[in-house]
Amino acid sequence: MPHPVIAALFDLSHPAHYLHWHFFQMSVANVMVILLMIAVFLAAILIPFPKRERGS
Amino acid sequence: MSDGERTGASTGERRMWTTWVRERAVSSLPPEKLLPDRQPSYVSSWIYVFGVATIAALVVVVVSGMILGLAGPAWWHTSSLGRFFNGIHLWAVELFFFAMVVHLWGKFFMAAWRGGRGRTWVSGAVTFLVAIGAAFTGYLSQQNFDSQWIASEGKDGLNSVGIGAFFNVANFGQMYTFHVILLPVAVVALVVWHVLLVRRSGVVPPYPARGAAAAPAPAATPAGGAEQ
Amino acid sequence: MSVRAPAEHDPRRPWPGPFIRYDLVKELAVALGVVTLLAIVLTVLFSSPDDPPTTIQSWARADPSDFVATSLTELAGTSEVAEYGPPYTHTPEATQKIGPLDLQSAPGVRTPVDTAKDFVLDPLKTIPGTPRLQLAVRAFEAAPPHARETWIAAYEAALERARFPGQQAVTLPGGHYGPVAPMMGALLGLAQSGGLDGVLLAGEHRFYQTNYTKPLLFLSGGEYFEERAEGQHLLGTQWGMMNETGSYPGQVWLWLYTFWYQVEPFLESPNADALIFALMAILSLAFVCIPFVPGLRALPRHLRLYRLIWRDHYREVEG
Repeated sequence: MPHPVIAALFDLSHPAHYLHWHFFQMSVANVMVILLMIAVFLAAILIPFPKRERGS
Repeated sequence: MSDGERTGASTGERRMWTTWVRERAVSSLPPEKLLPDRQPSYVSSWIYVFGVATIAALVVVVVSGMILGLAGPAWWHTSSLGRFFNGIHLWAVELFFFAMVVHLWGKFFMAAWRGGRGRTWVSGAVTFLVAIGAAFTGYLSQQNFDSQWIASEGKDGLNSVGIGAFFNVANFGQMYTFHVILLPVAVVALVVWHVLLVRRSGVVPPYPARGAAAAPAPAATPAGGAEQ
Repeated sequence: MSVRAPAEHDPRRPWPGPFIRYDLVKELAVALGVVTLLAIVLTVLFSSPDDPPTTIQSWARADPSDFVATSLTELAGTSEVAEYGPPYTHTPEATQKIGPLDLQSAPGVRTPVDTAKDFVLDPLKTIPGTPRLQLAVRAFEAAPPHARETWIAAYEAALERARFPGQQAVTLPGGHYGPVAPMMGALLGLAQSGGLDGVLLAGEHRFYQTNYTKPLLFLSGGEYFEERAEGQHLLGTQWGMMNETGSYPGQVWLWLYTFWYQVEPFLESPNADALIFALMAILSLAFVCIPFVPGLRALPRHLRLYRLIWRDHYREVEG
């Protein structure tokens, strides 16, 4: 039997918003995931890594 | 066991299969190489954590998947606890692909296949492709509208090249079986192979620094070798 | 004594030093904790989507006109499913090809579907206590092809002016529809009762069944199912392969696969599925073989992003 939707804090079950550019279209959620991937990648190579003790 | 039996190779007596396997395993991956407590000094960037992050996400995917499997494929539609673990499973999959892609970008820009590490790249790339297949069968196993639509669309691509005749996306029993055992075993086996290769060859060193002599032209490298 | 890193080192040889302390097991434990926490947070924030499936019943109730129109084409053998080709039917010239290569035909018809029989005639025969309906079915089966086509064509033309009082029984303007009219009316009733879902899945002699090929193919022939997908942006022309229902992130990693469907020459090609599958297979192979492809494997050296990744190392060895 249908079960009430779990009380997620944010309900994402409504239709998505889409970004359009020429023939290209992508949901806002997917665009955010891709941008986040690029941001995290850049952060990973730019943020200094803690210096480690040298061991023999 | 006598001393003579311990090292079959050196005594020339008839080798046992067990001895052969053990000696090959230990010589290619001694404990200090399998679980080193140090890394080369150049391993000092946050980009290096994305391999282990991918593995961690895979663990969460598998464990949440096992919990979902305990109560069967329909559980999450009617139970709030099931819905919770379905959420964990879905978001862990998103995190898995997220971490894997960042890891892949890093390894590409480092040309991590250098120095005979071609097989490491190959095993990683194949893992990516097989994981996409595992995710595909997962989406097909949801037993909701999304899985219906994905099946009705996916069948066309697979039928067009003859695969659909054997791999029927509308056959829930088949897709579920691929998803919960066949493809996870494949993914885990590939990841294990991938990690063992990394441990064997070590993390790829940097390209030569400016001012260093040009790297000597590499000789033909053994299987898996590829140079810049 | 601290060893200085070499400015240049053969990547095939073991690293001579220096080394740093690095706790791999602790790193894995931390990663597990972080990923688990992230997954829990995302689940608590957003949960996961679960749009209920379309059933033949829900389709027949919500859009009886589309259901009957689709059933008619299945009975006539003119539907997309009826003329699909392998692995469902033996329709000649229906297959997709990659140049001269016809991979679709190679395995043959391994999942045979006779749309008239499987979707219409056999389900109607399961309805008990309907002697007049069974007579109509037998009359249809015994009729010559020309008669059947005439009845179906007449019914199809009349369907545009049909009424569905209470979204149930079909009321057609006067005409000569032969046995097709009572057959379609009964099929609609069977569908709306939920019986057609069961019959298509289990048939007459099966108890256990997990193969949804027939109900899914039947659903896929109708516009109702496709319109529901279009509302969720899941159509191929909407880059649907990447999307999830609702506003959830979808399968971003399929961006390149779905991209080809949006551009020529694939956009209008009847062989789009086969051609794109082959193209993606080639690109995937190239991706796997990057280390062995001259030019491609030299790209990182030319792009020089590695200078940023290993800047600490270069700072040390270049002074």
